Amino acid sequence: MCAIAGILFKNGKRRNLRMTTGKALTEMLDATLHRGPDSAGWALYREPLADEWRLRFFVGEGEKGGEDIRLIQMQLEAAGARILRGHKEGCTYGVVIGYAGDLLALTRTMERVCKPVSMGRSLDIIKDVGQPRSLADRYAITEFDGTHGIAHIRLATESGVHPDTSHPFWASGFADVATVHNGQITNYWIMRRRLERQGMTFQTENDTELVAVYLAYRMSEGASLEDALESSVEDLDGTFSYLVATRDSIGYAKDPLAAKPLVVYENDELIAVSSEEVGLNRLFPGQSLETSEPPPGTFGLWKRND
Amino acid sequence: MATIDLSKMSIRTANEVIKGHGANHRDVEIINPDAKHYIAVGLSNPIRMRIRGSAGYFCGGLSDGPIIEVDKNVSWGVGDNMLAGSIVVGGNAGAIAGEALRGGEIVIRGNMGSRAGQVMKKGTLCCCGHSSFMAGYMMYGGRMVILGNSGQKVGEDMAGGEIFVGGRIDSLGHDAMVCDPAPEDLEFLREFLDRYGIDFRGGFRKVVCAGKGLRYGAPEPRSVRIPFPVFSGPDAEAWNARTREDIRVKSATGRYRIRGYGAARHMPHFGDLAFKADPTRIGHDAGALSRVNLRTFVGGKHGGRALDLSMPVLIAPMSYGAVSGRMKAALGMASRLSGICENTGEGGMYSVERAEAQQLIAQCLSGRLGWNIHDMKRSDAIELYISQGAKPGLGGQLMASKLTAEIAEMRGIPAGMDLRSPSRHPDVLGGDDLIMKINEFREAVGWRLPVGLKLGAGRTRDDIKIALKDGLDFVELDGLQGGTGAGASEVLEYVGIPTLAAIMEATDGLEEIDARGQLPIVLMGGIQNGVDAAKAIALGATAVGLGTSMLIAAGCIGCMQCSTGRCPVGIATQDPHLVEKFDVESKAVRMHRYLESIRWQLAAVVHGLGYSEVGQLNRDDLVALTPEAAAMTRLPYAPEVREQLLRSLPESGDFHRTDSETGSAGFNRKARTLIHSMSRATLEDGDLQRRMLAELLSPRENPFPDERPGQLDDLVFLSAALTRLVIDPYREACSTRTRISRTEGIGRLPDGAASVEMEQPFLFTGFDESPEPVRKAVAMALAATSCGYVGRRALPNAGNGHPSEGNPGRCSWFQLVLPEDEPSPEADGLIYCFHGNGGPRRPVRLRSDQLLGVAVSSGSFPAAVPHALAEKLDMILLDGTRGIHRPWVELDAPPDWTLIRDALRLLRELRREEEIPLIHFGGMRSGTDAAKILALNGQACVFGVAAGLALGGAIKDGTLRFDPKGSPGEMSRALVNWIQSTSQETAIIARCTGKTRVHNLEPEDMRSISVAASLAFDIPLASGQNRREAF
Repeated sequence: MCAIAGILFKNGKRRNLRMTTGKALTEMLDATLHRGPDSAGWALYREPLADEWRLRFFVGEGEKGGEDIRLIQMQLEAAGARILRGHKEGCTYGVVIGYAGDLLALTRTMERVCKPVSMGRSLDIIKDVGQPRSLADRYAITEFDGTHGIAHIRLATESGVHPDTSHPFWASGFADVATVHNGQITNYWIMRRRLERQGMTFQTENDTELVAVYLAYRMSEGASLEDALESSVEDLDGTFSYLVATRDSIGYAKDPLAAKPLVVYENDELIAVSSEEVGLNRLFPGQSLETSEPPPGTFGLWKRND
Repeated sequence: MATIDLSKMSIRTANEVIKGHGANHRDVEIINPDAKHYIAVGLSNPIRMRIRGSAGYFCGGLSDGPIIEVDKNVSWGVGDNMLAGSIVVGGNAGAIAGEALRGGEIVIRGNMGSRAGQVMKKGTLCCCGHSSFMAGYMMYGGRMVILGNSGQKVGEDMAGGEIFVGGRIDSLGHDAMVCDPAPEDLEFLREFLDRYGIDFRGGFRKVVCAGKGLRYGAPEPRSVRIPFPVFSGPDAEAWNARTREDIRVKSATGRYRIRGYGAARHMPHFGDLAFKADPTRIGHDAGALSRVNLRTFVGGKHGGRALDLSMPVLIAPMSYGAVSGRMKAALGMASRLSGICENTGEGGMYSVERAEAQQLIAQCLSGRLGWNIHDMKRSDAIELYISQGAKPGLGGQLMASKLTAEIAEMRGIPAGMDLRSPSRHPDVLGGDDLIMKINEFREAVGWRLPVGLKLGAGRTRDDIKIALKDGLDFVELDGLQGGTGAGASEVLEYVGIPTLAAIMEATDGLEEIDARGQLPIVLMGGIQNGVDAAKAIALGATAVGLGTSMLIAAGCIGCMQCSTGRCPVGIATQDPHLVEKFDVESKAVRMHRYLESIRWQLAAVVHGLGYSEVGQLNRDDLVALTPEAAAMTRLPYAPEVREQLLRSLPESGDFHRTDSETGSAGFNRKARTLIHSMSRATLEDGDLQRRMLAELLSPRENPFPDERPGQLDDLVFLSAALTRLVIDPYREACSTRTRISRTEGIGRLPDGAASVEMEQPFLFTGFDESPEPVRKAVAMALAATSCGYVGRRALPNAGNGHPSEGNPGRCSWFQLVLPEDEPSPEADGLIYCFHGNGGPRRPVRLRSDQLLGVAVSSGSFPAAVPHALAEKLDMILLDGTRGIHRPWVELDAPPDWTLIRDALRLLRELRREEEIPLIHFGGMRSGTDAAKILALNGQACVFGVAAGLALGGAIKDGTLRFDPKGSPGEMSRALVNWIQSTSQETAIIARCTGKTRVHNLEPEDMRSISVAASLAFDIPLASGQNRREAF
């Protein structure tokens, strides 16, 4: 019950599009706002850090926020991380750390005291209750001008309207993997219990989180992202068009009923994906675009060339 | 030519301006369209338009006569439901181009997306490039021309029309076939392509309907009416006459059953609630009607003109088709006489009804049968049907016997088919599309009319939030007790939640997002009188809808044969001889009187409670008389009120008849008598009105007394609607494939583990000692349907090859190994029994690929499960009887349902759920029972007595006896039929809940309707569940 959006600059050149990456994602969301006015979110791929990690956590408002941040800092330090810089943004606390250990272990440690939003060298997920344009101002999304990102607006159906049930979802424990999804997974509980028995954890009852955790689990078993996309079409029941982003690519998978739309525009420099063509036209107003829609039951991966 | 710049003008304004130019015959050019939605929707004047760029959803939709050129692309649903005109798209079209097209021409110069021409009926849709999958999905008529490749499944489930393919036919859809075009086809194609300047020199092949799926096979044998106490209520037996008849019918027809009317079992209902007020104060004032205000407005929230009802009552949607034209006319009259609102139901607007009804809701269903812009404009409100209480998940059904030439013409489809409308709309596949459809409707009628939803109750708590957020003006919410002209009988009984739970879920859902009272809810499903209506309103409904009770008021005798078209009183039939019996005016007066009695009852209650406005009724006025009703509604449980009511309300005796009970617990003898009486009473007859009211205020007996154990029948499924997508039970695949093996990880087969694969999740048992012809019949049937056999002896087995009498083929055999038995290397699986005195015996397999399992009962269960896990056994047979090895042991006693519950609890506790497959035996009668076992995490179930009955066995002296002269061939055919229909039932239930595999059913898909069942199965009571999480 949503709209999804994604944009990837293939080779670093960007002569055609006169807006930042963050602005482009925000405009695509705004054009499709009727599909999901409850909350919005972005997975932005910032300049990758060589030896450091970029982390973001949900924190409370006001004084509670300060306490939460102190608790997060203590837990990070206890886990052996060095806090380099961090600051509170909206309902989140973003922090850059030096850390030599295993990210999955750090994730599990942190989950005991707080709700991580995202972790990675490059990934930064921003999500909150509200509409894309005002949130973009609040979180300075339009200043982001990186190589790629995915984004989402949500019409809440089976789980509540909170920042943490907003999309994108981070594939918890796996650096730089994020998903956005349009549709409903109808074997949610069966799959969730299966994944939980494998030690995977869930923060919400949102089915997109399931997609993220599923992909994370498959990759932890040694599957490539493409393998994981392929098996998801078989393992997940219901309807979905989802996007998954990594440090250098955006992938998609679509259910065999093709109930959920996904329109793609590609030129020499970029690939843009939106739930509706009206979203793509926001990037190129007044122009007629060559667009296409991936067939049902398929998956794919677009990679950066640079 | 006028120019409209969409970068400067809203689409809503633009559409008004376009309509104005159309009226003045002025051409229009649109600049900067930027793929915006709803451009040129609702045009009913011939107008020439040029769109310079791309258009969004529903370009030119719901129109009659426009001539539109789009320079580049269009998104979903170009030319939706167009009656005449022409749309030329220079680029590509998104999904469902030309959906529900009813005339005119659409040309796509590029490629087109999936499901093009879905449910189109007339006109021509031409694609110069390639088509994506399922072009012509469920098309009823018209022509489609694809110059490029067809895409997968072209012509899937088409019922009529023609698809001409110039390129490659990638694959043919179900029930489609290829033939050569006739000379006149080629002539038409040449003329058409020339007219649009399309240069194409290649040849064509023609795809048409093969016609194999248009009709059901042999009709169901006529069934006798079985009084409901036989199958529902405290005295019902497991293998009762209804269960036996059901098995007999399915073994004759080989398909799921269909009937009309509604759920026939007991449910918690409004009779289980009571008003707190002193009942003798209600109805004593003859002037109550003049002292209270019942007038109710429904649906003005978003600027449309609200329905203005003289009381909070509407008539439920019933189609011209399901009921006769005369009945529709009478309903229109009655609604006018009583100042309320009628509803078209499926299939378009019947002119006579439009003329009779003062207020009429136009209902739009998935097949878009009879839907058009002109009828939308002459309606008083628009209602989009998502699902209905009787059969959520299924589209409308109209058997050929009722689909006359006139009705087919009105609906725009071929006559003579058994019509099964699609389960879902082409363009409403979730809450996100829904809002776009609603906006298209609003644009089409200039935002003048209220737009509502018809919603069957299931996941109502979530669905209602979507309805609110998507800007609907009202929702007609229909509980499980809602009626229908025809639907799958298992869905009628077991999919959806009771009306009482429905209104609770709806009000809870709205409250969770601080929107209580912000969305008017018209509650329907088994509402029969003013007292029910008052209780519904007190619980939060704005108004109620009446369907079945209107039919009863008009003379329906409750024979439940609505689907056959042989309604003896001329209501639910199109047979002219039967319709002739129905006198429009006298029946309209009956229904009017019935409605006026309701008005009097409502007024009496409102006044008696000390209010002056019907909207003042509230929850504090009510108490619950049964634990079920209390838990569902969270009203105070006050059994003492029952005693008070019985003491203070004199029993009149007028309405207690002694003839045999009806076939429906909801509309029992007394309820019907009261409705008849209401339909004859006038308001002047105050004494009769008071006696009827006293009868309605007095409580009914609790159908779920404390001593009644929880039963599998008390579980119902939650259907998909808005939050989830239903999988069309008539058409779309739902896999029943079943693997019996251990699993690991996320459901994978461990390396080297033994496994048996079957096409159905069904095993059979009980035929070890049966006569040889019966055993042979079972062997043949199980081999033919890929099911397994559980027994101490193998069935006769004559090797490989196609099963026949001489060669029964092979089915999987799971040997029951008792202490005295020797395991056989021939068996596919060994199931060691812990029953009897032999004590546990260490199970061993004789081959590495042989499955190894144990049968456990509640006694042996706590020790056996950990043991089975430790030994890495491949299966656990949960034996809910006194011993699966005893012949027809299911006849002895009701099964022990705690086993499957406790097995799931234990395995979850051990975090080993799903690792070992659970197979249930005991009390299995139907595909719905099997679906419930699968949802409770069973991997398969074992049928015993049910299969014996399907083979023609008769229950006698606590055992099953077979006709000694029965032929194996005939018996086998009967069992195959029964297995097929049972498998269909399981898959239908799974599809209704949104699954494409039966094994994806989950406990979360079910609710209980009795407290005992909620404890027996660990399944929460409908609407009684705590909130999942804070909103």
